[in-house]
Amino acid sequence: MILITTLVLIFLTNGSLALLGMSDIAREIGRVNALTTEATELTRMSSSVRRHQEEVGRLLGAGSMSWDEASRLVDRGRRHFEILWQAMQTRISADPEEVAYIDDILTHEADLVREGYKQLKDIITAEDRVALDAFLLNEARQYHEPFINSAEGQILLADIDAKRFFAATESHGRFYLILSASAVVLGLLLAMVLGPMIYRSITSPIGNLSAVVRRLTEGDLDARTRLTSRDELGQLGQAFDRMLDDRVEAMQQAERENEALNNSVIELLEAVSDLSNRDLTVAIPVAEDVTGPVSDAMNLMAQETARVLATIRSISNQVAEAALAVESQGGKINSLADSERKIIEDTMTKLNEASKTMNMIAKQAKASNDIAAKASTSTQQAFDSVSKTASGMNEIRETIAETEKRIKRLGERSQEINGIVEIINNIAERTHILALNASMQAAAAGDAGRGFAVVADEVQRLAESSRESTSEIASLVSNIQAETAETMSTMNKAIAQVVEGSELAQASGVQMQATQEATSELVSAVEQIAKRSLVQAHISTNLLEQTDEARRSTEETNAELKLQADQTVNLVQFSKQLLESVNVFKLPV
Amino acid sequence: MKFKIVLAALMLAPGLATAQEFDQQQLQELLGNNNIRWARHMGFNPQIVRAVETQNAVELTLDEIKRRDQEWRQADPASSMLIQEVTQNEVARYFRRRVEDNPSIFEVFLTDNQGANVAAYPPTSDYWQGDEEKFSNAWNGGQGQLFIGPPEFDESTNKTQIQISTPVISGYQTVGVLVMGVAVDALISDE
Repeated sequence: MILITTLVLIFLTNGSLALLGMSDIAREIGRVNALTTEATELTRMSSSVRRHQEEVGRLLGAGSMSWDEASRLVDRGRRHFEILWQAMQTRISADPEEVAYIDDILTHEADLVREGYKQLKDIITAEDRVALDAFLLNEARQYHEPFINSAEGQILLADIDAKRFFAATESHGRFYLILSASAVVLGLLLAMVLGPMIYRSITSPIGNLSAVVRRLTEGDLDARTRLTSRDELGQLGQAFDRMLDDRVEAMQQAERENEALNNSVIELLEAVSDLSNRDLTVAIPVAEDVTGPVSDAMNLMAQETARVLATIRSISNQVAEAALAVESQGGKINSLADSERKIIEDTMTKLNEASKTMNMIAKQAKASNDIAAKASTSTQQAFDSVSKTASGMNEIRETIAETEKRIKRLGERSQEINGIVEIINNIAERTHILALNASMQAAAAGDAGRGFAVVADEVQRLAESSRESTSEIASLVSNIQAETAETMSTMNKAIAQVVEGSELAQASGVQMQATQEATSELVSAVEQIAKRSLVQAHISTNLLEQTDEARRSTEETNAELKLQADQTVNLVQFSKQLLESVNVFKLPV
Repeated sequence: MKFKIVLAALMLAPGLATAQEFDQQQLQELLGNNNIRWARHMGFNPQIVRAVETQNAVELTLDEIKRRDQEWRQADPASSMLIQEVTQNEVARYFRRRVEDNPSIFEVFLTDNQGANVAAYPPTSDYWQGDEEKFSNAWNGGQGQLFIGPPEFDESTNKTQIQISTPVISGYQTVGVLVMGVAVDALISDE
């Protein structure tokens, strides 16, 4: 195996080296090729520029070319240059770095070449011999020299680099060639030496193995390969020998064990027959062979089963008792649940009524609130009326007082009239006395005084009627005075009454204000009551819903309890059945 | 024969896994293929090679170079003839176009076989690079090799740059050194 691996490795190394070398060399040759191509292109371009311009000068100078031919030659040169330039651009277009580089070193110079061609063409078109000579002698090199210089520099650089790469390629090639050749020689030598050894190391053990197999088939159980080498075939032979030893030993051992096993199995079957009769007290004899653990396991199983069954029986008893207790407990709970349900229904009915009542209270409180608001408004109006009445009475009192003053002044004026009447009375008295004196004088005078006596009579009558009139006036005035006094006393009474009325009105105003405030308080209190009644009504409704929920839950509980009671009855039944089943087994005491 | 020596040096260089080489590997990865190719390409440009060979032919003495270095350091770039010669010749104009066209290129300058400036854009701080690693490592005793300097902070521009030093080769022979400074910020933002 090691030998074969070594050979394969040598071939692989050889192949890899060859591949590596080839790819390296191919890459380097590619670079050399690119540089050579570049140098060739640039050489062609610069020689084209030089040749065409020199030719024009030489041929025209020698007179062996017409202006037309010169013009065509310039055009051809220009075209040739452009074709070469375009070819180079196309070749390098895939490599942006190269494009940038050529642009840096040659584009400007190429533009100068083009400009040079243009100038030359213009001069030739003008057929100006002097200008042509001057141009070719002086300016032409300004146009093409930079390009030729730059191209030449690049050609030299490419030449150096190409040589360098080529030398490197050669050296690499040589290196890989030597390496591959050495590997091939080494491989061949190894193959020559190792080949026969490999052949012998394989054929000899295989012959031995086939001879042993033949003897075994002929019944010789003692046949062995006895190979001792450490290679794979040696290991195979040793393993084959060990296998044969184990096989022979195993066959003899198996025969012995078979016998013992038969006996144990029979004993085991007898015990199992007892077990199948539900007798768990049986003890199976434990043999030392393979049935030993089985017997042990079965004994353990019988014991464990018996123990478990005993536990089951005691638990079944307890379960039966517990089930009975649960049954009676269930009955009690059922009756309690019934009474609870009744209480809840009762509560619900009452709550329902309470809720209705609360709603009514809320409505009535709302109505009272409205009425109280109206009462408050009415009281306010009454208070306003009373206030107005009081102020009206005050005005009346003031008016009456004013009237009283005027009547009093009237009484005083009547007294003044009395004085004047007395003066007139005095005047009438004196006039009467004068008239008497005059008539006496007239009587004394006789006939002469007759006329005068008539006048004195007339004056006496006038005085008499004046006295009568004044006496009438005096009695009228005294009447007025008496009536005035009476009016004044009446008015005084009226004032007193008005004062009293006004005081009463003020008292009513105060009272009414108090009433109004009390009514306002009443209104707000009633409003509070209305709001609280509403809240209370809501709470009652909620309470009612919750109670209803409780009632439903109680009903469900009741149903569950009934179900539980049924199942408890089943439980009692099942525990009885369980006990009967367990009692079938015969258990150790 | 000489080609073989250069070739052997180029082949052995990646094989020697010293700490320095490992750093060079990392720096090369950071710079990217094209920046290094570009610098190396310029080292082969005939115009550049001719300029170096012309100056080498003069065979300046080290004393003269150091005198010029002194003059360079003290001169006003706007008026110094020496600085103008180096920063305004044909090759310097070519460098200028490179720097102005490409925002990631910080500076490009060229030295002869002793490290004296041949062309530069923008003007370098000194004339003689012969005593600096950027020259001596790339010159490599006349055998030439690519050398990438450590990232350096430039105070005048407030930027960090990495210098690629590459031999200028004429007929497989190293004749001078070209140094191209690449702005690190540009490299990082490019990624």
